[in-house]
Amino acid sequence: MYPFRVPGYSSPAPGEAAVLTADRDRRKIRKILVANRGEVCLRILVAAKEMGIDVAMAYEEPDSDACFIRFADEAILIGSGPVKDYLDIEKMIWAARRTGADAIHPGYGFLSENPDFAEACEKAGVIFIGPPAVVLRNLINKATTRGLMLRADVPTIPGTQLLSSGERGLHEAVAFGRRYGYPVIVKATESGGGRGVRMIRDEGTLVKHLTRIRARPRQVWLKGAFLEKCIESVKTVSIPILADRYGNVIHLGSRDGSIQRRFQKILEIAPANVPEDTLESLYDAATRIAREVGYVSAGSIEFLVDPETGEYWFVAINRRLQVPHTITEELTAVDIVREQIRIAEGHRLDIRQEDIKLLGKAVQVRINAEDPLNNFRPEAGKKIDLYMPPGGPGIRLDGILYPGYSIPAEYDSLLVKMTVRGYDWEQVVNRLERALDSFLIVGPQTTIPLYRAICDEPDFRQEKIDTAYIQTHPQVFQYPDPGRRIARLESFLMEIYLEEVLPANWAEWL
Amino acid sequence: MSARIVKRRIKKLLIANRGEVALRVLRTATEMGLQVVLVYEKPDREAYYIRTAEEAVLIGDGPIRDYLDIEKIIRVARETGADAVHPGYGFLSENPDFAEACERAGILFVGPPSRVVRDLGNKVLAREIARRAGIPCIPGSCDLPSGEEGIKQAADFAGKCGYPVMIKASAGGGGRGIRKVKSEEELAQQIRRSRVEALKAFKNENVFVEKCIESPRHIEIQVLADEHGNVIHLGSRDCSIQRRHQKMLELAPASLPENVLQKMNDAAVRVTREAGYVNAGTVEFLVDRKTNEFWFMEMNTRLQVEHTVTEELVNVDLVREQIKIAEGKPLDIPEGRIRLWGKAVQVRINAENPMNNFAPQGGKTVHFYLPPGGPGIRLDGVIYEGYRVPTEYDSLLVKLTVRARNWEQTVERLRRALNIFLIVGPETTIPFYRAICRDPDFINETFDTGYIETHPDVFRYPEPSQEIRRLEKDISHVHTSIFFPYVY
Repeated sequence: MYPFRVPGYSSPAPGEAAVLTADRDRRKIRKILVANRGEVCLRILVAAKEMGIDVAMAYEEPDSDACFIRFADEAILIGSGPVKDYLDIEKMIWAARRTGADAIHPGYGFLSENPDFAEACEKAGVIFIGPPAVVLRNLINKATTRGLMLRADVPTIPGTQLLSSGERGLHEAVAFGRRYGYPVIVKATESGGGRGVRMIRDEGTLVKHLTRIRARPRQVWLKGAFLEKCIESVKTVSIPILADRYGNVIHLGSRDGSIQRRFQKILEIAPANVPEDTLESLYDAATRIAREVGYVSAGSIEFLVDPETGEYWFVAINRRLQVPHTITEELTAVDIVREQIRIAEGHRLDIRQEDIKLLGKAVQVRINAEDPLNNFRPEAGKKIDLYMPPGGPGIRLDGILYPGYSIPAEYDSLLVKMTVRGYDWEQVVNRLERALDSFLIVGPQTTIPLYRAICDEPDFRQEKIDTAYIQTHPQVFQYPDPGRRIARLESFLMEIYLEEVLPANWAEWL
Repeated sequence: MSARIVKRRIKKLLIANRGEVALRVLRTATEMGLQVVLVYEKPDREAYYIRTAEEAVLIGDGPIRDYLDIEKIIRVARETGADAVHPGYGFLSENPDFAEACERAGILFVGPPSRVVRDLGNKVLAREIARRAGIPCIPGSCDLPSGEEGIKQAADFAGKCGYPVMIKASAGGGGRGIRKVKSEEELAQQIRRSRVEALKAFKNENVFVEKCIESPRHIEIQVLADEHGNVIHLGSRDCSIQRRHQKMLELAPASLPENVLQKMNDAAVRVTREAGYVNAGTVEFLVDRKTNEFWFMEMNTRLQVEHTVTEELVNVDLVREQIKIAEGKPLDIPEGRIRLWGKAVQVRINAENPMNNFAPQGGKTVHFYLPPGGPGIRLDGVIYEGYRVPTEYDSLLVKLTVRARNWEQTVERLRRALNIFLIVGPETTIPFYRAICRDPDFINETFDTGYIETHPDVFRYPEPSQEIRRLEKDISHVHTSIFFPYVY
């Protein structure tokens, strides 16, 4: 059927077919175990609760004071962590059994794209809310994925296969660099979220870097490496998709995730500002790819796009709920987690492609407890003394913080995702500016002033952004200390707090 | 209609209001790059929203009377160099004298021209306008003359159309001055009471009598009109769930057959044109529960408390449109921005005890506040930890607006948002709304203005469940321990 075999790709065997043909396989989910922590737990919780589904959460000891587990119907301690228990497949399956959960939502990060986990769930008879294990396995290897793209006739970035071991691999790398020119990117096959990715500008550094990473003991994500040509000053555009088990695939518009630091997205915009015909070809390519790989559940296909020429290259398939899914939800009014759960239950998609109309423009910023002026050093261990988020039209907040929240040293430092919606880019930036200006978090340093400085930057205001934005606009780091106005607001609220809240509690606690 | 060049540009906006709506206008004005002046009475001096403005002027000891003082506000506008005034809702927002005073002082009034405010403010005149536009009105009398003659005229009218009838204040609004009369015996007394109430609330003792439509639905249409003759509507809102003629929960769009809605939209646009209306306004209708027949009731010449539900559905910032219209700009909302599928609902979370006849919790302090977030949630509030519920003003803490794809999902979302909405300190209306979310009639979207009276069950909610108590305790425990680390 296919012109050539893709190395490493196994077609779904009849027994483990990803595609169902009859509705009889539908199964109502009654209780979901969330195999994750932090903000995404609350996100899954609210979707499940709205569907009348109970929620259990597995947590590690450092999270025992967290508020998200208190909102769950049940919380189960799975170990002292940190991180390792959230990555422990057996423990998660045990937690699902113990709590009587009939489904697991993996969130993002941790086990979300791990085929072994999906397989373990399937074996244990627990529904994995995500793509089938066989699809995850096929896509885990970026080199294999590239082979699949060739077959689906989607342009990919020039790159090597997995580098051979020893001297030969080094030669392959050097030859590639000479043929396509520098810079190149060295990627670990299982890289993601910016980890295991490194840009290299000359041959000497390439040889040094490869030698070094090969000498290092194997890490979870480092099973091999390959090279890609680095295409600079382009946009990273993702096309979010939904696919059910009956072969229906729809896309949900586009997202621009170009503003990154060290390959990690920090601010995302929807829809992407690229010409309409380019978007159309991206939609087409994305749905074709989803069909080609037998994708099921929510995901997104990532491309690099040159907005000038309309040229695009496939980068990756994200096989999970993504951090920036909120901007897509704001524009389309589709609840993506709800759809994931419905698809996992075996329902057909009941949203037609024609129903997907993007209403206006949205942006999401990740507000982290990090000091941007100090190389984004996490502010672990600090406590939130005061929290006063903005509200009003077009503001959505997905966060886990409250006054008294203490930033964990063991995990990432995301505090809250703020999503801002408006009808055009100008209004969105003005609204973002207004929201950031009245966003008070007293305690740790946060990334708020950085975003505030980005709002003032003329290229951003004109939506002229590409993957090199943070490097080429160092001025966004030269923001002044939080202004006097903010300081005044802070001291005002602290005063009120001390006067009004504490005296009453004194009596109670003593 | 050809678009003329912008005539005026607002540079500095004075917000002649307080609380949640002052903050609402402040937010949009900031987004538009306007300078803002707030005015406040002494009891509001500790309000947080005042600190977020660049400029705030104390206008007196209040309470309330300084917010109603036209001269003072005009003077402050002059002194601070404000070239426009936004009246918010309530207070001076529908006072034609205020609009006129602004016009005289050369200050833009962000609202309709004073003449229109005056016409539509008089319910008898408003009905006349609607009749001219060919819109059915509820049969009613003219302003009743005072004394015995008025009572006689009312009795004649009631004799013709049958009891019960409603006595209404001509200058009324917000449910005040409205009385239901079931028989001729109570007529005289109710007219007298209504006059007293009307005089107190609106400084105008004129009342009229109207046929009473039993348990109708209360549906309103949001309209926008510019000075170039463009009038558009932004769909409907159902405000039937009321307590003593005060709206409590509003949703959009109303669940009515498409052709009825279309007729109402059309009627609303016609009334707006006939009145020579400019700016954002709302045309209110009563709709028969069974036949879907509708009658014009009145036109509100201001921003409504429940405007958020419309904004959530159509992605239009109504305050922004108000300001642009006041600047003389033509309406330029493209078709594509108006999406009328999906459903939104707003609940007013007040510091009141529903079990105790909604007794306001003035003077109490909010010790802990953790609002919900995530998809489809919007909050417009003035509350924060340490907030003291004022005894001088109304007790609105925060408006929660919830949006989803259909009614079923909207109710589910409202329920989950209320379930994780934590306000520790005053009693609030949250448990009351939780109870409404469980009521089958509400879930099936069948309700009319008699809903609260006919569903006493919604008051029989249990004490906030153990679950919520546990949550509050757990989280406030973590919270307090940062200030009292040595207690544990």
